[in-house]
Amino acid sequence: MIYRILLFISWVYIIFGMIGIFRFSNIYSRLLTSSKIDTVAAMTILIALIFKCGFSVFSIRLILILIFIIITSPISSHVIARSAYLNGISIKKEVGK
Amino acid sequence: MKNIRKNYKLFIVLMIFWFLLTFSLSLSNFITGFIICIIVTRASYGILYDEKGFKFKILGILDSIKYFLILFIEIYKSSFSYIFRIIKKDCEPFIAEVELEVSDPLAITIISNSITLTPGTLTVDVDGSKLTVITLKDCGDCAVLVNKEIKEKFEKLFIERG
Repeated sequence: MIYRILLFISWVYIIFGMIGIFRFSNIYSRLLTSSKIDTVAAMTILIALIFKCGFSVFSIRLILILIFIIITSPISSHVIARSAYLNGISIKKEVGK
Repeated sequence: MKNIRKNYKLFIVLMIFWFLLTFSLSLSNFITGFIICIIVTRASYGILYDEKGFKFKILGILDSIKYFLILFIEIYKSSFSYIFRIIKKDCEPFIAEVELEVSDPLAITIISNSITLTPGTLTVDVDGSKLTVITLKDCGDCAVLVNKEIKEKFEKLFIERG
């Protein structure tokens, strides 16, 4: 039961992440949305799977993958944001406005 | 082989992770894991460890559990508020500079990673112990507020640790 609720929450995150990417026009806002919502959704899916498997060997692997995602996922968004910032892309510029 | 003998701890940890992820005790799996772990241990020389041992003071188990709990709570708390921002289309990022009190490079890396993981903030640049952060808050005294938030949530844990 818990894992179904968690999976549902992760779908909500993914849907709002997609909506956010299309709604915002600034590169930094899009980055903030895509990287964070992705991480939260992936984490929720993995936690849901851990609940589904219970205390088993498979859960240990999932916990390791979860820790790996937490450690590595900020790096990609950091690199993209840093290159955008260093290339002088204005933070106030709203393309759609 | 000299470096590996000195840093057998890293090699053992890597081997444990290899077996936990592959879950096979066959000879070919053991040999593959052994070779990969030796390469990784060799490549980590100068980055993770040198002649004197490990370069970084690694978090203790209790501190790690506390850190991950705080991080999880923060991620979920701010992700819900971020969903409301998406609905309201309220997203005007601005840049704030945060001066940290800690000087340990590992602590700075963990804090900046935590900032990037928490929805609504993103670390752009690190210069010594000064972080450049993109954030979404649009109040009057934002820079002060972001500074206070980061210091209270994440930096406190590392200052306590010393």
